[in-house]
Amino acid sequence: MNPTTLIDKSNSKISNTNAILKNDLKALPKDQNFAEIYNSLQNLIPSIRLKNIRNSLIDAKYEICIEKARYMTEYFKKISKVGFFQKLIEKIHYIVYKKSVVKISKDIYQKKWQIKLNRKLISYYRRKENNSKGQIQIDFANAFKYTLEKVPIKIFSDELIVGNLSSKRIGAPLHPDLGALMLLPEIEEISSRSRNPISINKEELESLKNDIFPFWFSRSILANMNLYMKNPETFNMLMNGSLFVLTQFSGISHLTPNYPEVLHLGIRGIMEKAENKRKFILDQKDAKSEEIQESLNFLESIKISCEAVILYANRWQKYLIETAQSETNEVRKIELEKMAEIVKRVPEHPAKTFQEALQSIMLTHAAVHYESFQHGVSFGRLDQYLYPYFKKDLDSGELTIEKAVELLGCFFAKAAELLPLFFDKATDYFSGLSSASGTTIGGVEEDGKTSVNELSFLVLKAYDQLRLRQPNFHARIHESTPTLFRTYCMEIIKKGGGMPALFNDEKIIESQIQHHVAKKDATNYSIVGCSEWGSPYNSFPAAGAIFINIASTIPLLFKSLRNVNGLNFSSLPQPITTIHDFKDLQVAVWDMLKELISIALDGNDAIETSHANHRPTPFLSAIVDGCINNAKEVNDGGAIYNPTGCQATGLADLADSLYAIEQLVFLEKKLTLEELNGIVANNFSGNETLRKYILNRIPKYGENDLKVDEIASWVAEIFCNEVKKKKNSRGGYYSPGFWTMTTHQGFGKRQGALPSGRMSGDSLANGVSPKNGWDKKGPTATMNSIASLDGNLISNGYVLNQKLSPNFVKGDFGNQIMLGLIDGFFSKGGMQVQFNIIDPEVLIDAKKNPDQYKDLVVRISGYSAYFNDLTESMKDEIIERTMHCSCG
Amino acid sequence: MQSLANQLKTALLFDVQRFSIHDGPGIRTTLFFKGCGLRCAWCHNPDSQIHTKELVHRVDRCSECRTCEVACPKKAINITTHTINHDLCDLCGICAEVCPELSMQILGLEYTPQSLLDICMQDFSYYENSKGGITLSGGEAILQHDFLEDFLPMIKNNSIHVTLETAGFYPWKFLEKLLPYIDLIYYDLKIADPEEHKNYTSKKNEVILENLKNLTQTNNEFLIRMPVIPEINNTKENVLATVKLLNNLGVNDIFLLKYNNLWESKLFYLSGNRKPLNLKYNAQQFDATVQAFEEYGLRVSFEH
Repeated sequence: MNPTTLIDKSNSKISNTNAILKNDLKALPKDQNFAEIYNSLQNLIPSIRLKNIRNSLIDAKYEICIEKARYMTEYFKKISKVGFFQKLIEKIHYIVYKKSVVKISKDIYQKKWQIKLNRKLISYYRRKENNSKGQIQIDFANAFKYTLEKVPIKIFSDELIVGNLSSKRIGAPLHPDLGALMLLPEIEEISSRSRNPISINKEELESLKNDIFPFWFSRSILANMNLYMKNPETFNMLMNGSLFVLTQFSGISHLTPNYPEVLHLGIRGIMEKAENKRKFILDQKDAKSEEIQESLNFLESIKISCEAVILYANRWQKYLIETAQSETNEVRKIELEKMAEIVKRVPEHPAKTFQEALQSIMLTHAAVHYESFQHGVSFGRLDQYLYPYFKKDLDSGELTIEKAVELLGCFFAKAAELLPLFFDKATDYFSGLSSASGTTIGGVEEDGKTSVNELSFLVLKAYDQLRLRQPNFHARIHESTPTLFRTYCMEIIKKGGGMPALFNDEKIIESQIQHHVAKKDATNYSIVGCSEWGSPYNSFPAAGAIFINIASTIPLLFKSLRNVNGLNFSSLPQPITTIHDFKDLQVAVWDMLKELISIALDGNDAIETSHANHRPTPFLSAIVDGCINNAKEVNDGGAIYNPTGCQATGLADLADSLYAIEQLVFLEKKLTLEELNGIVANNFSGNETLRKYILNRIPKYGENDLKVDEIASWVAEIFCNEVKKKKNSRGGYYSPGFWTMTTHQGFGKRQGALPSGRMSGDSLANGVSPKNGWDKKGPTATMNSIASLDGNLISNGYVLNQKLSPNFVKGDFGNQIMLGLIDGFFSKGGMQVQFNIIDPEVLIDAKKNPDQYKDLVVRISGYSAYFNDLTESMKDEIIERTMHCSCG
Repeated sequence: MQSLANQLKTALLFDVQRFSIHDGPGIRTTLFFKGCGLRCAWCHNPDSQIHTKELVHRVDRCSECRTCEVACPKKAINITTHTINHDLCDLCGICAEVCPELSMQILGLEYTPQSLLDICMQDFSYYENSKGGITLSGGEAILQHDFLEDFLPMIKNNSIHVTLETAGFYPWKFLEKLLPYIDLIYYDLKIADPEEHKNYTSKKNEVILENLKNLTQTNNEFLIRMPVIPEINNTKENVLATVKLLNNLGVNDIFLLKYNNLWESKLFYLSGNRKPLNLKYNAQQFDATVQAFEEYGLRVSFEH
């Protein structure tokens, strides 16, 4: 006889099953190395400093920053040589153009002749200026320097790491040189707009209207991209936002600069690198050719921009000394003096201590953001490259664990100071105001040993004490990942907030290698922004450049479903008239998708080309590996890897729609395709029975139904393959992904009903997830559906939102369940998963009483956000996501 | 019908629940077998009791589209009155297939050993990584022992952990032959007194206790569970009698289940004359029961 005598009262607190489980487990991998750090973190007293910083950030109001815009405008006006005649034309042009921007905001699009005329004028201005690429690079480097000489700098109370990503406590810098003109129709009301109001003062407003916008409207990316659009209609399609979204007219986006090199060499060391390259080029035989002159100009622009950053640090030093002098609190005075010493050294020189390293990155990071609007500038594998500094200081007694957590916290808090500034329509697509700075921890070495170190734990602890919406934390999980680290991740995730997201090393490394990434770089992958895996420090992946509504392909196929919406679809294939079987339908969808991708990618090419030609970022080029060596600007293909991310939104919706058509029309023959389209065109009105039948009786993606999953795999495959066929203007390949931010809501709002049973205007499915609430078979079934997609095709990330009720994941048993889900999913080939673990009641209450939940952080897509910053419909979606816990 | 099912070596299940985390260790797939020898007044799966298929009509979901009425080959459905003529109905299931609202439902689906194995294998990787497995529940799974005799060796061939949740009311030989394939048994006791047991479950408990005694003489791992039904089996007398019973068998542990009255919401569409009990879980009472068992020296565990 052998009854389960193991169960005693202490175990019963968790669950009886847990006791059995413990007995049942094989010996766990030894975690001796980490037991000490794990235990010491459990008992760590929360930092009051971090609490204060957190509170001040949560209470801060959101403000627009126009400093960069102002100084840049000042500089360029100074050097501009526009004649009287051109000034006059520009004035008239601006008056007309303003009107058309207002019209666009109301979904009234430009006529072909207007687009053409606009393009002619812009082309005329550029010809008049007659600037070479290299000259433009130098101009922007000087403008950057001018800006960094003047931008206000400020330290906030309790801070140990300085650097302002904007001029305000929480600020949204405005970039007229990129796409900020789209704000024009709403700028007067921006402080009182219903969604994400951001304040701006009267003086700033006047300066924008009278000075800044009129100067940049003809010089911005928004203007210049028209020069390169193959199809003038693309501009209207982009502004309409129902078929695709191209983000880079608002700024380049999503990369991980070579911060480790900044630590090793210092900015001065990087300048020397550029100088050496310059000498090397000058030594070449044909050193006088035009091309070489361009390279020299580029290297000169690097020098200027690096000097600018050193100058910026010097300003900080002076400022910190002054602040220390007037500081009455002796303790703070010493802190400030130490910080002044630190910015005297970094980022100019190599960092020597942990605090210097963090400070060096943060000042560099701030400078990157003053150069240009760059969404998703990420930190890479922070726990890896900071480790030597941490270890040295810890061993020498310079640093304690408490202090290290506090310093990391001070560093991360800075990343939460920045907001992206979206015009109202864009808010539908990018709700949550994420600046998407990815921070990656954990992972594996090339020899298969775990990369996890004490800092990996400390990063999580610092996040845990702050719990701000930024930066994004990502944990790489590998077979070698110690159980204690996994457990620690679970403990942090279970407190809500959705971080860290988890990534499957085995599969992602394999997939990267298949995409021409060297093994060394693939193993060293980190996450840019939300979920985009790739080689850090040496890539310019533009990971968040394109989002395509692939669910729109079906409605576009049929005349009755094409929603004209003020658009001319002449560039898309004509509606089809004959479809005999499911194969025909698949072919037609494929053709439509091909065209849609082609149009979106051409549009993106135009934007990237206009960045390379008209809006270079020399400082960023200095800190992305490859640019100096290639003597090529980062927007011009200087980096070692140059992909552009292209995301599909609505994978589940397209797969579900295709399967519903196959079932209803071709297999059950319940009705003809024409009849079905008629019903869908009418938004199922009067045919609720059919809609219910589709919803209840026809399997959906996410239910582990082999047939639907096969269709979803097919959709993913054709999308990925079509995207990957094309090269961008920087010479890299387009790179497919399935993460959506909130574009599933933006597109959904503008998308008519679908044969899947989804009603007109409803959100599409998010990321690679099934449609919200349609995953009725629980998380394992959902994960199986997703794992059935061929991960080797997906090179730019995907996001699976998995919701679990807090009740299910309580205690050690809950850890075991979560780890079982994650490992089970990853062993089947799953690549990424993130959890929203929160009681729906809390969210419902938060929606009603926003003031009481200012700090409530929820997971959106590949990023987290304050619940209060979300659009109302996104709030509802998050509530719905947590409600459908069809499990247990 | 049951004997026929057994001849064909198919099982009748009324539900398969994936990602089940309260029915044994780790992540599990719980198989709910249909049919039970007991009729417990508090049975939380009243739809599991009858060992044949049943056609039920959920009026709450019906939109009166009449698709089923038209589709029924026996003309057994009247949607105006929301009634099924069970004399005409031959459980062909066509109505359930066409119903868009899931309002017409056949309770009970047949599975061959292979088809059920396929379903279990879908989540294998999650069992493996959470030390989970499958759970046989019901109804009373052991009543379909012939099927299990084929099915469980297939499961064990794949090294899947098997938990059985059983009420213990069947001939010992049914369970005995399956014991080698079962890793963990949750064995339910309800009421100690045989007459009271009969009052509330329709059967006396002698067979159940005899089987338990046999079980204690095997090497199988098991855990006694008792649902705490307010006012019915949480009395001092029953606690004491249960303790005595367990002491005699040398059993020191008991797992107490909290009562939940969700089953009453299923009654409106089920045939038979089940009556709601109108009882509610009461935390104080439950804690008192836990304490009572502990005072008698048993080790008590329960779910929080």
